Parts: sequence; C-alpha cells; structure tokens
Amino acid sequence: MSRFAIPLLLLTLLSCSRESEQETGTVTIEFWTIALGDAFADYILGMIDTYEHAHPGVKVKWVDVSGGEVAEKFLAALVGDTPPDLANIYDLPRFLQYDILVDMDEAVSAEEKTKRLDNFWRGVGYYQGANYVIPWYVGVTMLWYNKALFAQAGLDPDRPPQTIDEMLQMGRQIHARTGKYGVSWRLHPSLVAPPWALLHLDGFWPLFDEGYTRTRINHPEAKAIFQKWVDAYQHGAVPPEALAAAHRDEVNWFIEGRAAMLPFSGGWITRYFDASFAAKIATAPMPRGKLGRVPASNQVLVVPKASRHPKEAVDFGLFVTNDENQLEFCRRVAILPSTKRAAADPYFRREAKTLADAANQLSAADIPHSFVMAPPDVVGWSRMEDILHEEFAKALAGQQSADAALSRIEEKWNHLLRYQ
Amino acid sequence: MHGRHTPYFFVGPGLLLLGIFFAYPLLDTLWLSLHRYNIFTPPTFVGFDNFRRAWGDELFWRVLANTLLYAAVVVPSLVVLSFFMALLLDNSLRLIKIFRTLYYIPVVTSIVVAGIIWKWLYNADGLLNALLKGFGIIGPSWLADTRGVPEALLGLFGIETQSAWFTEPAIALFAVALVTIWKATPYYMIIYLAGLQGIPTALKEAARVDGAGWRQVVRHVTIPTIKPYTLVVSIIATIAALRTFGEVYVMTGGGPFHRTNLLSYYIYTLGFKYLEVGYAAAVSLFLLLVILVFAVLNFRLAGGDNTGGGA
Amino acid sequence: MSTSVWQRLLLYALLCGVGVVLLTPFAWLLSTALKAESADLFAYPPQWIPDPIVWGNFVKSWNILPFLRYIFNTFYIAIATVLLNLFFCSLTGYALARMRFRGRQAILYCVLATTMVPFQVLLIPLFIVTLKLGLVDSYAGVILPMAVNAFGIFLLRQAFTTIPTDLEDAARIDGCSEFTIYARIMMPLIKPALATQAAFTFVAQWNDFLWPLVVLKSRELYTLQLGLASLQGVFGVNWRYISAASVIALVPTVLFFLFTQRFFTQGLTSGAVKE
Repeated sequence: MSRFAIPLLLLTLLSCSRESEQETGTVTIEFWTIALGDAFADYILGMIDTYEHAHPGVKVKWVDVSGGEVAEKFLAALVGDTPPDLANIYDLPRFLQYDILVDMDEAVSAEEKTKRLDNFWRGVGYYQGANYVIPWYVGVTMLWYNKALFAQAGLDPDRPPQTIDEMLQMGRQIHARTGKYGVSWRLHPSLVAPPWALLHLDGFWPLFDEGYTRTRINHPEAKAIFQKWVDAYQHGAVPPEALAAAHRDEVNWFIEGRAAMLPFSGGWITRYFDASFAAKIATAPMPRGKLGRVPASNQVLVVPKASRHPKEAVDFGLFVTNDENQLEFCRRVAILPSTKRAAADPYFRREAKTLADAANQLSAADIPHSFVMAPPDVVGWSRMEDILHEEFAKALAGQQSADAALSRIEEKWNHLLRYQ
Repeated sequence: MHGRHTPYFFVGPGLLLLGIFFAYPLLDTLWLSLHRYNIFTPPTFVGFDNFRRAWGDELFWRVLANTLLYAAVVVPSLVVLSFFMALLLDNSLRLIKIFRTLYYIPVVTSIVVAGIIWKWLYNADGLLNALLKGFGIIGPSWLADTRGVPEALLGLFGIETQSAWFTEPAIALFAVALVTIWKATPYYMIIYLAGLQGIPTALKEAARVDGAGWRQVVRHVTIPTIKPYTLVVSIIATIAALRTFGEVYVMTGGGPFHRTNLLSYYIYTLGFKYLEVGYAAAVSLFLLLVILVFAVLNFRLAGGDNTGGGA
Repeated sequence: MSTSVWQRLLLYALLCGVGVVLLTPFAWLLSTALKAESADLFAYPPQWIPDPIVWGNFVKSWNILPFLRYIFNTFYIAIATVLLNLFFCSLTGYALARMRFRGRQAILYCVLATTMVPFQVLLIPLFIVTLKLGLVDSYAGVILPMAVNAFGIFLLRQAFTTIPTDLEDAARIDGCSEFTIYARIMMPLIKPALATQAAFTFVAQWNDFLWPLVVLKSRELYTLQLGLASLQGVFGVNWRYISAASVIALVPTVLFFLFTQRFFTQGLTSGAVKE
C-alpha cells in the first residue's frame, strides 16, 4: 500500500502548485454561465474567440457552473475574494440587498442602454432605484396543454383557457372526469408563478406600503385570490404534490401526463418531449388574470464590485448580450432576446415548422404584454417569501383558512419589517 | 515495545490532514456562531445572541423534532435490516458475488436520480398507490401528506383521532425516511459483511457440533462476535441520519410546511439563502451537540461499557 | 458447511425476493434508457421490458458529453483518494487501536467530532482553506480534503482491535520495527475492512457533487457527476438520455465493487487459518 501511496501523495501535492496568472499585460476575465453544458460550448467559445480577436488585451475564461448550485459557488468565490468578473446568476433578491454588484445605470452608456428593452432593464435587477444587471435572454410565459387530456375530460382541445379563472375551472373538470390534474404548478419561488405573483397577476399589488413599513397583504382582494387557489387545489385542479416538490417537478408532471396544463416560458421545453408526446401538445398564450399581462423571466449577467476588471467585464457583458449574439443564441434554442433590434427580427415571425417554433413566435408576440417577474425590492424578501409559502401551504392543505393564513403572514412580515 | 514517540508518527499525518480540512473549518464555525455575519459585510461580535435566537426560534424546534423522529425511524431500521441482509449474503453460493454487487446498486445511484424515481413511485397516482389499490387501499400523495403515520393507520380502520400523540411522524417524513433506508441499507450491509467474514468458521462449526441450530448460532455466536461492527454501523448511521440533506433537497424541499425539513437542510437555507451565516453556524453547533450526545449513548449501549444503559 | 439442494433453492429465492424490492427503482431507470423515442415513458401499467429495445440512447448520450474525459478525471480522483485514504486512515487507526500513548482517547473523540457537522456548513471555510493552499481548480483540491476521514479511521481502528495480540508479539520478538509490523503483518489481516473502506471512499468520491462543483472551474477537470448535472441543466435533454448517462455512470462503480470482492474472500480464508 505505502509503496504506491507516498509517491502518489507527492504527485498530487506537486500537481497543485499550478502557476497562477502571470502579469503579462493581458487582462483575464472569468465568465460564469449556468449549466449550458457541452451542447452550447461552441456558441460560447465562438463568442469569446470573436471578442478576444477584437480586444487583444483581454482573455476570457469560461466557467459553466453545473446544476442549481450556482449560489454556493458564487458565495464561496466572493468570500474567498476570487469572484467571477461576469456571472449569470438567479434568485437575485438575496444578493441585491447587499451592495455588492456594479450599478449598471452608472457603468453602461446611454447609447447601449437604449438598445435594450426597457422592461428588462428595469426588471429583476432593479432594486430601490437602480439597475444592477445586464439583461440576457428572456422567456415569456405561455400555456402548454395536453389536447388528449382535454378531449378525455370533455373539453374542446382547440379552445384553451383565456383567463386564470377559466384555467382553474377547466383544471377541476379535468380532475373530476379523468382523475388526472389540471395545472402543473407548485409552491415555489419559480420564475413562472410563485404565490406572490399569483396576487400580482390578478391585480393585487403592491404587497407593501410605500417605505416598506407595513404590508397590505391582509386585504379582501388578496383573500379572494388565495381562496380561489385553495378551492382549486382542494378540487384537484393542481397536483397534491404542489406542496412538497423540488426542482423541475412541475415540468415532469406535465411530461408524465399527470397534469394537463403547464404555464412555462421558453419553447426549448420541447427538448424534453418525445415524438408521441409532442403530438398531443399544443401551446396557447398564457391565460390572463385581472392585470391582463403575461409574466416573463429574464436571465441576467452581473458584475461583482469585487471584480478586478469591472470595466472589461461590463464591456464583455454588453458584447454577449448585443443584438447579433442574442439572435444567434435564439436561433440555437427557443428563447427570446432582451434587445430591441433583435426582438424585432423577422426570425420571430418565421414559418413555424415545429412546436418549439410555434411557441417561440407565440411568446415573441406577447413580449409587449409581458412584465418581468421581479419580487418586491424589500430587505429580507427571501425569508418573507418562505413565510408566505408556509402559511399558504397550510391553507391549501386545509389546515387553516385563507383568512387565517393572510393574518399570520401579515403579523410575521410586519414583525420582520420592524426588526430589520 | 515501541518508542515513546512512535505513536505520534503514526497518528500525525492523518491528524494533520484532518486538522487542515476539518478541524480548522469547524473552529471557524465556532467563531462565526458568535458573530452576526452575512458574507458581504465584516462580521460583528454578538456574543451568544445566535444561540438565544435559536432557543426562541419556533421553526428550529420543529426542524429539530423532525430530525430526531427521522433518526428514530431510520437508525434502528438500518441496523437491523443491514445485519440481516449481510447474513443473507454471507455464504458461498456460486452466484453470491453477483447478488452482492446488485444489492449495492442503490448505494451508488446518485441521489438526484434516485429522488426522481422515488417521486414517481410516491405520487398520488403513482406506482405505489396503484399497487395498494389492488388491496382496496386508497393511498395518499406520500410526500405531501402531513397526517401522522399512527393517525393514518387508525384511519384505515375508520378510527378518527384528535390526539396530538398520533400526529408524528408525518407520512411525508416517513416516506423520505424510507428512501434513506432503501439507499443506505446495502451500504451498512458491507460493514457487517466484512465483520461476518472475519468470524472464524471454526467458531460456528463448533457451535453446530454442539447441536445449536441456525438461530442459536446467530444469537450466541454471530451477534456477540460482531459487536464492534454493530457499534460502527449504529454510530455512522446515527451521524448520517442526523445530517441527512440530499433526500430533502431533491424530493420535498422541506415541505409541506416544514414537516420534512431536517436540520442540515435548515442550516443550508439559513446560510445560503438567507445569508445568516452566524446563525447557521450556531444552529450547526446545536446539531453537533445532538450528534455528540447520540454518539456517546451509542458507545455506552453498543460498546458494552459495563456501566449499563444510563445517560 | 454443507447445504442441501433445498436450502440452496430457498436461499436463492430469498435473495431474488430482496433483490426485486431493492432494484425496482433501478430497473425503471434501465428500462427508460432502453426505450424508443415513440414509447410512452410514464404509461401505466409500466412497461418494464421496452419494445423495441433501443441502444441508441446510450450512443447519443455518449456523444453529448465527453464521457471519456470525465471518466478519466473521476477515476483519477477516486483512485488517488482511495489509496491516500487507506494509507492515512490505517496508519492513524492502527496507532489508536494497538498503541498506548497519552491523548489516545481524546484523539479518538476529536476524530469522531470532525464528522458531525453537516458538510454544507463547512463548505465556505473549507473552500477558503483550499484556496489559501492554492488548490482551487486542481485535482488535489478535490482529493486532499477526502484523503483522510474520520469514519475510515474509526472503521479501521475497530478492525485492528479484533486481531489477537500473539501475532504482534511474535513479530516483535523477531525484531520487526513497528512500521514493519503494521505494513507486513497487520495490514493483510484487515483486508476485508480495507476493502470496505476502499469501497466507501471510492463511492463517496465517485458520487460527490457539491465539493467538486465549488472547487473545479476548468471543464477539462470536471468529474462525471458534474457532467451528468449539466444534462439536467438549463436547457435539459429528455429522460432517455439522462437515464442512459446515469447507467453509464453506474457501470464503473459496480465493476469496481465486483472487483474488490476478491479482498473479502481473501479475508475469509486468512481469518479461518489463523485460529
């Protein structure tokens, strides 16, 4: 044993003293993406190549962070003072409240700003008066539905729901007639329909008074909306697992044929579909709530203040998200761009040959009616959202009334607002 | 005998590595627990505030109770099942190697994949309930049901009960525990198997010659001889159960309303989601204390210290 | 030990029964990996044996990921970890089991204590240590933190305690050094326990996800688990490929285990001879 172990130890110890970046006048920026995987390597590396040619002094190191554990890696890197220079991150509220990201309103020229769609510039990264992100690709929510299940439930497969109320009503009918479930939704801070967004979509907004001293959530309007979902849940319009589910479960339920409707952004979801399944599926515009608008999600790039080369990072970020590069990305996978010229490109009005194409066009048409799902820019939102979920879940499970849930949320939120 | 310093040369290298990669981070945790720290601003010293806060944190107690219940279900099951599984595999049948290998597959299946498969089995309209239907039982949505296991069992016989005694553990927690048991039993089986194969055959033969049946051999020869291994299994299983993270992370996210939330997951939420690193450190020290108590209890009970079972 | 035909049949029946319970979830994975594009994955009742059986999913998922690179990395990391781990743990465990010295009991308890904090908590401090040692984004950064573990020390210590002292005494009379006794006499006697620890370490390192994710940055160093995770990434692929890739990832660990069983059997014979 020891014959092998000792040389091996030496070997590993030696291999760790890899030379660090030498100061040769070039600047290296580290660029993090989330789980794009090997399938998009040539796209990203191609972009980097082009950029490095145009900017001889700059080198870009691409790091593709696998899985949903971006936050761990991001935080560890920040604590270790080895931050990425440009990173795609999500679940921004927990970072925005600390002053750690470069203010893009300051760092980006007016000219570049006007190239980008305003609702995304003032979107997920807009926190208490400033924007801290460069918007990248966009998903506008639409409804995917299973025509076979519609027919089985005695619903017209060519007449998808127009409103949220109708969607829940149809969901109940589907459960009553087929034993399957209506809407594939789960209680989660997802990009598509987290509980706070259910309130927003149906016209109840904002959740707090001005200055964030108290919440106004314990309101008859909010109660009516909650009650509607409680009734729907208890009548099988939503799978019972909605209360205890994890990453991507709602997509799986839909693909498994357990649930008939899936609100989802991005036509690329068809990558999950089989030929036989795809034949049963149709898309429609997302049913409207009282607000009359459609939720949109937006992937964003941020530059940590701790970056050694913030200027170069911002510049490269603007390059990655420019019209040409975003359009090229959209051609490879069914997503939408966040810049004006790219969004107006005829590509999004092309003849739809596949389900993904059709969905892509449909959602592109809804960009003007979309609003970005940015949670309230209040300090401590992550914790507040968990409280909302806990109390709402108890109401859904029938352990307390919608009324009681709202007053408990109000009480706990106000306590947090005072405490912070 | 050996030189006075020899033992330290043996212990040194291992301890050095442990010190660098575990003890130091652990001390760091201790230090952090006395601070308020959110990663982005320098830590401020707050004394024992974090511990006081845990004392008054309703959710902390809920999660602690879940964790203890969970361990109470998982650990005894693992010790007993893995022992019997090892007995079953401790023979010289021709195909036994194949069986040992096949049995080991759950251990090496990644938790992400295992989670997806089990969720599919556990759904309200999943495979498990389809099987139960054959017996005329309408199964719940296993991972979303917050009724207590005793409560639900009584319910099967039409007995309605309001008593708080019957509400724990929740069906959902039990369902999560079952996945752990499935995945970990073959793991501990390996430890027992190593132990069983160390028992000299002569010992068993001698007992047989004395006219002892299979059961007597197991009771009077096997079980006493592999006691050191039982100690290993029960300690490792206890520690692992109290630190369970993956199952919760991939299957329930702690829901419904924290009924399947376990300490590791709660600590993770505190540290990485709320960025309350100091408080997370304090809660982990509570966890450490709980584990320490159980480890010592284990030593006393299984280790055969002659002091008897008391704490 | 002679067993009658009936006893053997009964044993096989029992083995198969338990096997079915354990492997049902895995069978679903395998059957998904073998299903055609047109087959309904979630049909009820489930179709266990696909019709037709399609091997193409394996080929496709093999082509999506640079599997060979990932498998090499994972093997390199796992094997280096196992060797170092066995060396350090057995050395420490040996001293704790067979030598008397000051602080022995205290060391044992401290060793146990280091295993008790959830890894998620240690993640950030551990990352900082690794960073300061210059090990971020290297194989060593993944290997060294796992090169010794308290479970291993504890397990091997327990194994060393079961060995009778007369062997050791005899060797000592022959003038063997302490290290020779450890390496030449004691180590062969705990082969089953070493094999167990090897299997544990190998599996732990093979399956580990969070730590390599945090430490590694270069794609050339990625492990299989990191690669698998990217299949379920933002623009994921369908279930058949994920299942096929998971099965591919399982094969080496299963083979490794099949191989290490040789040590178990050796342990069996050596144990029998020594009484």
